[in-house]
Amino acid sequence: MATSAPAKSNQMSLRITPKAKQIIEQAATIAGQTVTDFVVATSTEKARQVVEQHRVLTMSQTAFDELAAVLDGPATLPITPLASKLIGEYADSTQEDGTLDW
Amino acid sequence: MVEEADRETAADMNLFLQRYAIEQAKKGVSRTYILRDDNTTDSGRVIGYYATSVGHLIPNDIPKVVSSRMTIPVFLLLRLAIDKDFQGKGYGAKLFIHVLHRLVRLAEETGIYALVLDPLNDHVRSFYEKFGLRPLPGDATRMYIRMRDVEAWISQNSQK
Repeated sequence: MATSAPAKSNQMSLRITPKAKQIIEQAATIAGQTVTDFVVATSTEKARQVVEQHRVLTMSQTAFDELAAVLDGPATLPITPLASKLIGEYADSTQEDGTLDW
Repeated sequence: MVEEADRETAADMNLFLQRYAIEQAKKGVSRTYILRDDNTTDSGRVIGYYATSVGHLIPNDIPKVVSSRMTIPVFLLLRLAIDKDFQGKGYGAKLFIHVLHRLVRLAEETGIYALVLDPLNDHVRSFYEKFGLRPLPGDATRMYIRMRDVEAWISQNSQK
């Protein structure tokens, strides 16, 4: 299924030393990318890593309290048809020794 | 036609597996599980993978009273990806069921309350909705499911 690419509607501008700009341009040339594509790709990759390693998600006190209340409640969520089917299959394909034969 | 966003995502998913999965496992940052094809002549080919970790939800205001609950520990599903040659065959759903079974066991031992994930797009979001995941309060870009509910599902649907 093809999903449409989000439009690149946002702009970022930043100041940079001539030396830094030169090495980025050089690297982009070597990578065969435009400077923009190179900068976006490399900084996005780095940003994802940082976000992934930062395992603290902040939320408003209201949302936090709401979630805490939800979490304290008993199990009530109805199973979905897909989960029901797959959990059953998972159980059926678990062997005596604990390995799975899907 | 592969659109640009999909290509970037695919490249990122490949890069993670090739470059970071082992490094993060060694550091104790995350753990990656791989689904391999052992049946065909193409034995050992990676069909898909997922990476999980643990995080905390915290309120962004300093609480006025010291409550018993300062943070909510959660499991994080950092990534779950299927090779493009194997997509649309139900492998993603099977991998996610494996995630749920594994984390339910861990939840029993650690008291972790929920699984939280960050769907990349609406297509991914609707995939997780089929497993009952809901928007996280105050942050609709993320989704969550309570381990307690999953535990009940598994215990009620796993009798042989």
